[in-house]
Amino acid sequence: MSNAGRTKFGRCFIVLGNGFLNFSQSVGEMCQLLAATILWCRAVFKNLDKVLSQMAQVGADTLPIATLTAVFVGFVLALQTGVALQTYGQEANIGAVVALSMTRELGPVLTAILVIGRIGAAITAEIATMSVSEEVDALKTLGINPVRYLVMPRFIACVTMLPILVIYVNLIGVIGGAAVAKAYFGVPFLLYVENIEDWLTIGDIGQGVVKAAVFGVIISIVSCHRGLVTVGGPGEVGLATTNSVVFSFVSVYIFNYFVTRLWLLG
Amino acid sequence: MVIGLDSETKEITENEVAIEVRQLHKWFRGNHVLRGLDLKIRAGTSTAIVGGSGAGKSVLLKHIIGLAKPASGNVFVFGEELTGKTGRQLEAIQRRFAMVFQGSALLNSLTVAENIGLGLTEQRRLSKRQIDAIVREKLSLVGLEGKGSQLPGELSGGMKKRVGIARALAMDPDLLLFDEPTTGLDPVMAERIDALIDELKKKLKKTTVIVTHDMDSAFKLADHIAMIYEGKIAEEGSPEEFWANTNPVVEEFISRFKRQGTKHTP
Repeated sequence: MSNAGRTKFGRCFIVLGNGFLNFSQSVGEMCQLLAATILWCRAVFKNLDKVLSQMAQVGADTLPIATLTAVFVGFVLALQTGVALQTYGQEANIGAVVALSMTRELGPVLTAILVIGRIGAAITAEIATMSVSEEVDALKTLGINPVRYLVMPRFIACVTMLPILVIYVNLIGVIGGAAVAKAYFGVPFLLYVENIEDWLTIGDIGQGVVKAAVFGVIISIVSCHRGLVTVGGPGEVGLATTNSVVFSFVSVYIFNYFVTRLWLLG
Repeated sequence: MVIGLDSETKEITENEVAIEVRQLHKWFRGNHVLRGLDLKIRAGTSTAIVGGSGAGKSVLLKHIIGLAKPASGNVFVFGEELTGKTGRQLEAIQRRFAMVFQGSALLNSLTVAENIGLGLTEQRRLSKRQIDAIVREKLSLVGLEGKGSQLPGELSGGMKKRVGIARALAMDPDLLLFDEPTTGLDPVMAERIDALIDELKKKLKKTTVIVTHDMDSAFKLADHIAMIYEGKIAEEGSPEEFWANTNPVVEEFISRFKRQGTKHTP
């Protein structure tokens, strides 16, 4: 190999190595932050005002966009499956397909994507701005632990509100599906519901709820961590927000697979 | 009425060393910022730490208050080692400090009064009525009566600095640290902030550390001046000794100030 080739290979190795080291450090720090946050959960009742305010932001404020998304996903699911099932005269099964798709996969993943874009990005931007303007340092000098003051309320809000949002999204999606099934395929509402009752188990709903809680942990910890480690100026705040959103998306997709695998295959 | 926290700290005697820094080293991305820095600050005195931009003044301050971890070396606060302390042990030492940040570091989502009372509110030792009384007293001390309900975004730079000072004083600290208190202010406002610090120094008799590159402030406010150069204390002494110092590094640093011949010449 020529010298130039070796240098290029060396640089590539350094970049990859640095990337791996940074990634490992971030994951380690996030695990530490998660442990510290869980320990601070004991102070939840003393910080109820902050927790409730965050719950309102994650839950109530996300409802309009969640409703819009869920209803159209329900429409599309019913349309796609309806057209395919009509070929075999199985339109009566639209309800089961829509309900199972929503509860097991689409509900939790779509809600997680919504919350990452709407809440996760806002959490990182807010905490990163506080970090670069020394507000986080100021909290420490006032004897206020930033994990208790900033992270714990957001963590509890995400972990509790995401499952509730998912149940709501599932319900709205199924109702949207029912409307399309009735309008375009002539499936009566009662038949649609009976079909769901035949197929949907409490385990299917539980799977979505467990996934949502796991996604809540991921979104809150990743978003807060990226914010807390930000140094520099406004440019770094933007970069931290982008990193946080990308990291959260990828983590949600990966954990979605593993939770599904654990749930289905043990 | 008794205003302020019950002091749990032991009596501070004159000439006691409040802060001692021994052989402090700090690296930032390959840059050796502090190179074995030694410094002693006596209780009840006012020390100005001066030096050029990027000399490591603010980094030193963050080490003194435990916001940054040294690569090596030790920091002692009233004889108690700060280095290596974490959690509640660190918080107990940090409670003896209060810091006024360069950019004020006020929490933008809270009002001026909430910012000043934040540390006390989160400690939950005093009633709301007692905290309100302390906030009113500190607001009056910094000349901002009636501004308690305003948000930081509605204040000028000088007013924000004064709120930052009021917030620091509300914690009734033994040590007051100022990071570039006059940077970014117009000369009139800088003069006002200097006058306020001077008044507080005389009235409260706290140990104060002022990090600045404004020699006008340093000569006016400090009993002792220490200059950082190449990561170490290059020279230190009383303002008179510093004025007469023949070290070329000091001479160069204060030459512009000497040429101006301001009224605060020692």
